[in-house]
This record gives sequence, structure tokens and C-alpha cells, in this order.
Amino acid sequence: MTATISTLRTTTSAAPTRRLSGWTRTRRQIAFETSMVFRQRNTLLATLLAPVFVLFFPIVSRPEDATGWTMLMAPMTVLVLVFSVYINGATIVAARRESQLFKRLRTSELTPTQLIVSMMVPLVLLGLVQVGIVVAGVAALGGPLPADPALVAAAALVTALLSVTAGVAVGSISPNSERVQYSVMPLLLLAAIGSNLVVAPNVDPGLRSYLLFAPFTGAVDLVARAGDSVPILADTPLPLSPIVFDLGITGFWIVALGFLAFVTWRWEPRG
Amino acid sequence: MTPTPIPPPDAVVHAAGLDFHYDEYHAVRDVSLTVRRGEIFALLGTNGAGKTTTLEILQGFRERSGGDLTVFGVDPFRDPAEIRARTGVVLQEAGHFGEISVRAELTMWSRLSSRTDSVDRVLGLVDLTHRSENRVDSLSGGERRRLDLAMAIWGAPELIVLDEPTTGLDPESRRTLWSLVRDLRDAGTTIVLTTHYLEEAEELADVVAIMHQGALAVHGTLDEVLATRPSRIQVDVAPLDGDRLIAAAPAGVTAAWNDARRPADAGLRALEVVSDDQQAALTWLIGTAERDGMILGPLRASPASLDEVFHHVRNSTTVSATPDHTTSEVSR
Repeated sequence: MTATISTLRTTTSAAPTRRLSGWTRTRRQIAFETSMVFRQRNTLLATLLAPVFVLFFPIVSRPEDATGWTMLMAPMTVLVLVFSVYINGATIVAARRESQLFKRLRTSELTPTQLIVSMMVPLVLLGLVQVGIVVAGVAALGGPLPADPALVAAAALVTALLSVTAGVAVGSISPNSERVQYSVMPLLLLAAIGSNLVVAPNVDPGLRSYLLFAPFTGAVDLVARAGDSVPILADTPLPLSPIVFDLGITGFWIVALGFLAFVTWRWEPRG
Repeated sequence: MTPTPIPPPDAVVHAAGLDFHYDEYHAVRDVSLTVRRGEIFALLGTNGAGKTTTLEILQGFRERSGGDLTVFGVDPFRDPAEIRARTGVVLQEAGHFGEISVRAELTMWSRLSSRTDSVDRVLGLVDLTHRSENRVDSLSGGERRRLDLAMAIWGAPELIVLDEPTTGLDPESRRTLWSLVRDLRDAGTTIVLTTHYLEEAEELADVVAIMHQGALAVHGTLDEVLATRPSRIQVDVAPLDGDRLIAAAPAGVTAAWNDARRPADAGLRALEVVSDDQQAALTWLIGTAERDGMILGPLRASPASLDEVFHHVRNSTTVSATPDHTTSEVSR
């Protein structure tokens, strides 16, 4: 180290500062975190290929009508986002806690909220690109485009938010990065089973209604209702319009998992 | 050095009666201290003494359980943004974005900071210019520590908190870091430092505090802290003369043989005189020798070392074995 007193004196006494807004700081960190995603080429490739693989389902099963397309693609549209944001989010949270990177970033001028937002936004953007690939793929394969794109957009948005809070919560309670693959399983299985059953034919109507209480199934129901020709959908278990119920129950899970993330959050590696 | 309830005008950090509990465990107990602008304040202590917890409270990472605390005149837990903008931190352990270059990581850091600086200048200060394009995960432990320091000194913050900054550094790097810390202090930066290396504190600190079991056991300037333990006079004397000196030692002065040290002159024996008042002990020793015709051999008078103070604190403090150390007593 070759510091000299004169160098330090000059710069210390000057100590120039600038005012950075929270938004500017967050935006800069989002850009950095996005560049980090693009650096990991294998992960990036796998993430972008995932929706392409999802499109093999309709290629193989060849849905005969719009209802068939909806039953097949509504869960896929949501689950591709869940896989991308929830699993990657939980993995990043556990890994950064374990590598003590959170401790480092905590000493920066980012607030904890800005830190988490800037870490998750690139995953959400990547997830939304995946949804776009799925929707475009369905159209390319001759499937119907959503009659109500706003509902699909709303479903994608709440799924992304729920996946973020779920990822942060599960990453927080996971003992270490190696155990994340097990920690994410319960919610992932619940999402996968619930999402497919809630729009599947031959499911008991009562069970179908209760399935709407599960996380992510409300979003699947929203995507299914965005089509022109909807399959047999669940009756809402509460006296609310289906869309309000779907958004409400997903909102409930966002708040519940967000609370879990808040109370279980740790900056340092777990014992 | 006892802090007043009202912070002095040049106080950067002012704590009064600081307390912190981890559930049942009383980690920080009634800590009062003041760190003044432009001084190096060394916080020492045994493992688990509460040093890092105290630093985390000072930085606003933890909310204190009790007491008063201001950093730059504000409560660090309530207004962390104010603290972060004016403080650089080297944590005991913290991760890096290993897959990017040293320059890229420091650039990322710079874009979040409200302090401006030059990446090249800061890398030069910590002697990492030659590694600037290398991936962070290819750096050695000592180089990573220097990168930690680069992030902490970015933009010349008013306060730098260094939590065991030289752990893992080789002796040469440690000495050059000391030089850098002194230069920062001379440039007006306030530095709070924790270390396990007592010679580091003796080398650098203007003010020293020693924590033990959550409490501040000793606190003051380096001289004041050293003065809490008796000074020693080592002298070689004839055995008979030494016996007479041991027998005649006045109140406040203890004289005893120190056979661990072997005098060069085989006819003499090593005597150690211990006293809180070195001046009075020397006057007595020389006066008695002159009066009684004793011949004194080589004589060396020295104050207590920080090592002695530290060990005394560690050994003389007794704490009851309850989970919550509320019934503990500190005896000095």
C-alpha cells in the first residue's frame, strides 16, 4: 500500500459529495444485477429455454379447441414464472446470505428494500420475458391469443410479486444454499399440483373451489378467464366476483409470505 | 474520559449507558464512550466481549435495548442513511461479487455512494492497481482485505469503522495498513477500530477501551489505560542488598525477586519493584541504595504494557454463570 499523507489530505479535505435519490441508486443497482444475470450464461440460457420446452406440451398433446389450449397453457404460463422468479429468488437469497454478500451490501447506502428490489427485478423481468415467449409460442402453434390481455398481464404481475415474496421467505428460512433445492419443494409442489388441478376437467367442483385458496392458483384462474372459451372453472368460495377473489387471495399470499420474509430475514449466515 | 450526558461539540460517536440483549443474553452492558473527531479509537476485548455487537449498534445495524447513542448527532438506528453516507466500514467478514473484476466491483460500489472519488486513486491507495482487471475471487485473503478497505475509504468518509482490519494480513501488509490508517487520521478522519492485536492498538490508538463480557472495563487515552496497572522497575542487585530492599519496601511499593530473568553479572540477582507511582518507587530505591551503600546494577523502569492491562481485565473480572449476566460483578 503506497498511500501518502499528502494524497489523503487533499482528497479527504475535499470529500466531494453528490445527492443520489433512492430511485437513482436502485436503478443503478438493478442495472448491475441485470448485468450479473447476463454474465451467468448457462443460467440465462436455461431460463430462456425453459418456456421453449413448455411449448412441447401443446406440440405433443395437440389441443383440439380453445378450452383445451387454456387448460394446458394457463398453468404453464404461471408456473414458468414461478420456476424463474421463485426458485432463482430463493437460491440467490440463501447464497448471498451464506457468502455474506448481504452483509457487504448492507454497509452500502442502499436501504434493505432497495437492495431486495434491485436483486429481484432482473428475475421478474426475465420471468416476464419467459411469459412472453410462452404466449408468442402458443400463437405460433395456432393456439388462441388471450381475449383479455389485461387479465394475463395482471396474473403475470401478481404471480411475479408472489414469487418474489415466496422466494425471499423461503430463501430466508433455508439453512444454506445447498438446502434451498429442498426448501423450495413444498410450495413448488403445491403450486404445480394446485395450478393444474384448478383448471383440470373431472375435478370435484367443491375441491376446485377450495383449490383457489392455494398460492398461485388464483393467478392460473385469472389466465384461464382471459380466454374466449373458458373451461369449467371453479366457483369462488366467497361471495365475490372471480377476478376480485383471484386477485384478493393472491394478494393475501403476497402479504402473508412477505410477513414471513420480514420476520425470518437474516443478514448473516444461519448457524 | 467518562462521557458526559451531553455530547462534546467534537463528538462523532457518543454513547451513554448502551445496552443490548440477544433474547436472554446480555451482550452489551452499560457502555458509555465518546469518540472525538479525528481520533483513532481502539475497542479491544476477548472473543465474545461485545465489540462487534457494539460496532453494529453504532452503525445502526442493530437497535439498542437501552441507553443513549448518537453518531454525527443522530440516532444511527433511526437515521441510517445519514450514517451510511458519512461512514466507511470494513467488516470482520463480508462477501464480494467474486465473478467480476476488482475494478468492476469498486465501480459498482462507487455508483451507490453519495461520496465521489476515483477508482484508480483508491485502488492505488490500497496497492491493488496491478490486480484491478482480475476477478475478485482470484484475490488472496490479504488482497481481499485491501479491497474491503478500498470500499471503506471510498470518497474519504468522515468516520471509518474497522472491525479487525488486519486479520489475515502478512506483517508487511499490516504495517502498511497501519500507515494508511494513521494518514487517514492525520487527514481528519475519525477511526473506530477493533482488533485482537494489542500491538496494533498500541501502535495506532489515541484512545483505548477494553470490553469484557459486554461491559467496558477500562477506557481512556493509551497513557491513562496503561496507568491503570502498576509500572515495573527491573534492577540487578547483590542478594543481601535485595533482601534488605524487599524487607524495607514502603507502602504502595512491592519488591520481589524475579528469577525468570538472569542478570549478566553472576554475582547479582534480578529484583522487580512494582508500584502505581513509578516516580516515588524510583526515589525510594535510589535513595535507599545511596543511603545504605548498595550498588545497583542495570536498571530499567517501564510502564505497564497494554498486554498486562488486557490480561488483568480478563483475569480479574468475575461473572456469575447465569444466562443473563444481570447479577455479574466486575471487580478490579
